[in-house]
Amino acid sequence: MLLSIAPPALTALLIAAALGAAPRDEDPVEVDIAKLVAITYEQGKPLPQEIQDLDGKKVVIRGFMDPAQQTPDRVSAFRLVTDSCGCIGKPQVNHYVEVTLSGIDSEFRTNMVELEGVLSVGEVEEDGFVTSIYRLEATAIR
Amino acid sequence: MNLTLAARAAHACFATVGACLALIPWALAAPQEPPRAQQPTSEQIDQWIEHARGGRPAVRPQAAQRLVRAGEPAAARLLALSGSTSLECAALGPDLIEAFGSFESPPLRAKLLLALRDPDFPWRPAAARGLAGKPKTAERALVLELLSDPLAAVRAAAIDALRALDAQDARELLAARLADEDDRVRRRAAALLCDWGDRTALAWLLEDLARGDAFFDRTTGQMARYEAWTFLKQRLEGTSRSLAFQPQWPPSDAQAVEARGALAQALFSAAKSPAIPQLARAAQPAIDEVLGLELRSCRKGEFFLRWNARDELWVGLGNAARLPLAPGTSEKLFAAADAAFRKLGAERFFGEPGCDLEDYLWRPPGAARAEVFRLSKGPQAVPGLRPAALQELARLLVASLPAETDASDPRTTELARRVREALIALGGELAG
Repeated sequence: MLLSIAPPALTALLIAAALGAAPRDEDPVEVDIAKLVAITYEQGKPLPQEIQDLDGKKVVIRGFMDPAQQTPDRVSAFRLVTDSCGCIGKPQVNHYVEVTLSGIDSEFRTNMVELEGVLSVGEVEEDGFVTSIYRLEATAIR
Repeated sequence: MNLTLAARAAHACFATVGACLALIPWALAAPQEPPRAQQPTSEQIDQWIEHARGGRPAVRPQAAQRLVRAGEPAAARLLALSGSTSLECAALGPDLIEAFGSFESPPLRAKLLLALRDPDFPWRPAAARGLAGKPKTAERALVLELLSDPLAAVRAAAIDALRALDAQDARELLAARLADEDDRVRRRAAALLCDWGDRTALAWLLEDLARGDAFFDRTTGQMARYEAWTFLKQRLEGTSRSLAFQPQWPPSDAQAVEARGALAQALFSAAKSPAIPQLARAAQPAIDEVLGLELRSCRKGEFFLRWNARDELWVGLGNAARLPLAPGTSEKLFAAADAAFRKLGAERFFGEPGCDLEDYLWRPPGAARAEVFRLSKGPQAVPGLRPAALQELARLLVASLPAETDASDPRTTELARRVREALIALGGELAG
């Protein structure tokens, strides 16, 4: 009944809500990986608001596959870092984006890559260790 | 407190039997007392050592910190595992080596200092960071020596150690680092000089806010802007009206220009801005790089070289040093590179992931992005790592480096010798 009288955009939203999917903007937001890694991170403390605001957003982000994970095999998950070398200083959990390729895979690339997908922000712990604060479910890699 | 919460939850869940049932296990499991810190078991210590040595990169420092908190039992275990040779000690990996400096353990401290003094030890930057965490007064001479170490990461850690020692009488040695070839070292030196009362050093950070340089596809200028702004912002809070700067703004953006102008006015209105050396300037020469060589050796340091079609070699990041080459040099190098890369076909990666990288970058005219051909390895030598197709190219690249260079620019000093040594340490002996 409601669907029959609702305008098309609202109908789409209602269908999305009924299917349990969060409505998302069509155009991805361009996110600068340098901005993500530049924050002062302290375990358990809130992330800056402008970083928290990126949670759940569809984004485009550029960077390099972490050389520490290099492999001749195809990859469906990797860390995205700012530099083609992962060997500068001590790696911190805010220094990378944990990427999962959704429905695609890729050869390991040594050059810069551009990814599109949904970013999630916040601490994830395993065995009491924080293993990531940025995660990207990428649907496209260029 | 947990019992109170459990009681409230039980009261609230009368409304929903299902929810109430779901909460019962939680209520029963709720501890009566906050957990007390316990001495870790030897199994836990071994597990944390494994995490710190070979876990995921982000987990390693966290695991090392747990060991430091565990104190003496962890120190004793690490001492036992560190063996009697440099190689055995290095096998613990950089995060544990760095943690050596945080224990109150004289034998571990001795190992840390031994590692730092050994030019062949692969984790000297980590050892330097370990020293910088809690430097002892007796280590002051070593810290001063490390300020001019061949590895930039060691020099940066030495500045942190100076800060921890509050060695203000070493101000002149610190000020010399404002002309360091590595921008991370320069920024640390500027920040510490400012904290010791010399606000003119902030000019170096302000200069970095104008950087827009890149090394092929890597936006090195942007990274510099972010770090410089982090340092600068901390030192301007409460004193400036001009905190509107955003490091993501391109340097030529009108807002960025205006914000930098306002910052300069606020910082130097009454004083003359100091003269910044050429290598620290935010100039952005049009390099038009085609071929590049990036070397990162945990023992021999980092080198960033680029050749363009105008027979020019550019050395370093940021405001790179330009070295003219003999006419026809670039054409010869590009032909050799093209032939070598064709032979490699789709292969881009040789060796195993590790701390040592030898990258060949290739962006012929019209290409949107650079292709990167990479040799990589850990601290151990890997005979024959460099594929035959790249041997001749490596030799030609070294041969193209001028023997005589500008002695006033540390990036070009003895360049050919240093690059050759780094290449040998990375991919192995050079052909010819």
